[in-house]
Amino acid sequence: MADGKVKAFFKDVKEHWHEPDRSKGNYVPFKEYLHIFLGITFNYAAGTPLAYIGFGASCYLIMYHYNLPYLAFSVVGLIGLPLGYIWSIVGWIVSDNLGFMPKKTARHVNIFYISAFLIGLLMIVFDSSKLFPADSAIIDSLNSLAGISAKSVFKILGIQLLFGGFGGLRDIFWRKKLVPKFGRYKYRLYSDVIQKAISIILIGWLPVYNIPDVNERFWIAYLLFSFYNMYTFDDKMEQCAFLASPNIEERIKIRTYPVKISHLLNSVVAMVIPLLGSFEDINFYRYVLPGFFIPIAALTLVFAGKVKERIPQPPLEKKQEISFWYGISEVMRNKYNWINTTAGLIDSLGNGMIDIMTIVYLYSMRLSGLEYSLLTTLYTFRGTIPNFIAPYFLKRFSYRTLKLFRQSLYVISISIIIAVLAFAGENVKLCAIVLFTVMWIRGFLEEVVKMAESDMNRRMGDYQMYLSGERLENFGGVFGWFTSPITTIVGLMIPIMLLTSGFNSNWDVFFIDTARFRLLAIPLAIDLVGHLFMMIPFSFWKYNNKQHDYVMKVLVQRAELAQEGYVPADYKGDLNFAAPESLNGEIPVDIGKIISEADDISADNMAEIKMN
Amino acid sequence: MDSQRDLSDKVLLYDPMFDAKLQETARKREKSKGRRFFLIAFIVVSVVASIWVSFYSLERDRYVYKETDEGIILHQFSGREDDKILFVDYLRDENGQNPDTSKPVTVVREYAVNCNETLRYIYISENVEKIENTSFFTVNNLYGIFVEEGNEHYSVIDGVLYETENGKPIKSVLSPQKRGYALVAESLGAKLPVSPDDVDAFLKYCEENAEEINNAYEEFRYSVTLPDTVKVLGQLSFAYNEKLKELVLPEGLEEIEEMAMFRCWQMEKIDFPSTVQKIGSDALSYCGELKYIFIPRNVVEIGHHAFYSCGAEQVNMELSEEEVREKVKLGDDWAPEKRNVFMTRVPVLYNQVKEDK
Repeated sequence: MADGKVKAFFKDVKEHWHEPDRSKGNYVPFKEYLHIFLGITFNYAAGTPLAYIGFGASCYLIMYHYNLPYLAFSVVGLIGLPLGYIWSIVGWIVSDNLGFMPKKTARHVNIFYISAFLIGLLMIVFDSSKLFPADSAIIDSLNSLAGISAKSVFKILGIQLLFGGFGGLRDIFWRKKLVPKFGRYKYRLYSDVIQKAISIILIGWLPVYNIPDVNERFWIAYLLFSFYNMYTFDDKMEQCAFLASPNIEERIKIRTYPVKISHLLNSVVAMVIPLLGSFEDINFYRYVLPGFFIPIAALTLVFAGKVKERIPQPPLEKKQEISFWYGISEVMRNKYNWINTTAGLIDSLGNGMIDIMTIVYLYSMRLSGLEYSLLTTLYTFRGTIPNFIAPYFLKRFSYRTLKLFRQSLYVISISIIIAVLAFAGENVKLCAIVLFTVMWIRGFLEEVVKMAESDMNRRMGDYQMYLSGERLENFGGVFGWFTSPITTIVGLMIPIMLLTSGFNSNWDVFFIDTARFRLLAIPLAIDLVGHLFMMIPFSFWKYNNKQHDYVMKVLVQRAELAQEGYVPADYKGDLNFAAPESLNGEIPVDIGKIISEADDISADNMAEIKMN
Repeated sequence: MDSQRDLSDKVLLYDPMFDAKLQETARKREKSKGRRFFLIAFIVVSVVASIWVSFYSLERDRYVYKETDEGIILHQFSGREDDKILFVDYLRDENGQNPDTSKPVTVVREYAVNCNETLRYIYISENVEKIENTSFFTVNNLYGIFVEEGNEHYSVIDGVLYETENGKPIKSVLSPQKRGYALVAESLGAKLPVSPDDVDAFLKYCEENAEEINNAYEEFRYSVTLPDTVKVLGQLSFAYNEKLKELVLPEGLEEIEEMAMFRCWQMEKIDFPSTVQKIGSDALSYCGELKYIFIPRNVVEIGHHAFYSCGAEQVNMELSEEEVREKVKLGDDWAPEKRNVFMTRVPVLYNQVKEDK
């Protein structure tokens, strides 16, 4: 029996190696499964060396070499807050129109970006704080900010303008050139890889960390890392693979098998890298990280072009044009965006927390070399087994149930961690082992939920497209406009508390037992409250498989109609759409009845449907 | 373009994008001026409020005090680039000026000064009664400390701040991390300041002769001898003393607190007196040049990671193995590690006699 199944499987693979089995509703040939596997393998593995570089307090490079004040990172976020709104507005118009805008809009956008670039450049080259008298209130006020000075504030603002402007111009240029050829997700791999490699080399070799004055050191480091951050090489292949098929079951198959198996190389790389140097040694960042990134990134590009995005949508020339206010009002129509936003707002209570695993590895267990590699690999692997059994749980339990389960998990695990820190804090080793175990189990159990979240994010893009004609993934950021001011203030709570408890730029404070307890337990307690309250918004989540199935059918129908010349913008009412009894979130409540009544219009055109 | 296929006889799935009523509502919503105004107003107000509140939270006065029953507590000092001296004397305004002599500072809170690179000197007035060992955490470029005559609780001897009892130093509190730099400057002709009034002239000398002093500082090493009456080597008191070669501990010393000599990476020699009973966690961690460790018999407690990342390849204990097991409380990973593929501890030898190294 088993033999028969295996033989049938191999026969199926052989028959459909180059062409998918359309009779089963599949879109992806098996050869592409291999390309997905290899493309994600290398793309994901390339991210591992990049994980050691980041402009954040928890980055080992910053920790061991730069000694930058913790609160100064919050100041950077604050400076960027008003600018962020402006970048968002312009960026959404560009991104959700895939770079294709009316000429007048394009001209305004270009003028804006060029101006920002030039002003930013001037602010970096010249000291703008000299425009104000030295004893003026504004200079005095800026000098009083924790971890920063008036001069560096203006430099940081200049850096944000420079890279925002330049980044925007680049984005338009590359989208126009590469999206039609490579799709909307993976084009960045091609446009950014060389610059990313150069920036990694510069970070290791430029001795910015040796600049004696901390204010000077901070803004120059920010300049260097802003250059690094402008070029991305993140998991584009995985995002692309999630949209390799409009068939939900085929998507889950792709995600479960080639995608998850492809993470193996990343685990090997993650294990090997720490063996080749110490985080305290600058040569680790000079040789080891670029030595891994460059060849693996090159291999990613070899396979990236062979994986297609298949999003059911009209051809580019017939796509829905998205104006700014249309995009805003449409994403606000999607009630699930509101649920996610509310949950995110509550979750911001935990912003600014120190990563507990960093403390466990470096300050409790004092790991390095092979021990560090093995333990971090074991920790990373905690999600691997659940990934393979995830489809069972995703079918059996609703998204709402899974999310509530996850929040409960967080509440219980954090409670245990605080109790251990409080009552066994003096026993460093025991404490570390218990913390690691609790975090591992939590990660193991929540992996299924993470897959559900990832899947739901894609579904929300499909649902938004169903509602509005475009995925509007970037316009979804409008909710950040409402929450940013609140999360900014709330997110300062923990860093300020950490400062008064002894944590600034010197991480050695975590060696002090009493300080370590305070610096971990109190933020955790705040985070626990957040996770408890997050259960409330998720209890209102009602989007299910049946509804999503309907949404996908409608999107395919829409693409087919567009091929026939029927588009919503020109629609004159000459088609016969089923009339639902009632709607819930614009989806018919009587889905089964609607589907049974509808005719299949695709029989003749199936082979010609273009998927972009 | 191909002509449209006639689909009027087909029943199609309900699609909101082709629902005229819904699309009309969507267009009205898109064009609604009231909504746009509300959205813009809300965002402007919340952004302005957020920035104002955040800047307000992040602004740091130079001196922040708290008044309690214990007296005035120096809660926090956030120095600017030009702040070379910290005055712990009286309540001052937010710029550190205008000391109010009717309000003396009596306590310095822990972490009151945290990760400061600009301070060179600390001045402690006669009123100060309590300074925590973590009050001045990571003050990397400190050259020296002044204590006003008449202070019954603290004194400075050979540049090191001590807690005193009946006029005698009993516990080390803080050894300035860059004291060696000041000593080098003195050897090249500078006059070490004896009060805050002398500091400017001294710093000017250092600036004018920076290259010469830096070159001499590279090779400089020094030793410190603790007074005979000291009973406790305070937490972090000699931490980060990068040029400290030897610390001579007196007979009568009973306790070495947590991280007392943390990251003294040039420390070559430490001789525990026979009276020492407790060695705190991380007391000598990251002292990579320390090659010889001898633990005398009266030690009954050694904290976790006490000798982490030291250079010694073995630890010598005066007690026997059985006595250690019975009498001594040993913290996790207290001995130095051996850096192999897997980290192990260096061997511990028992029944040893102290060698003259």
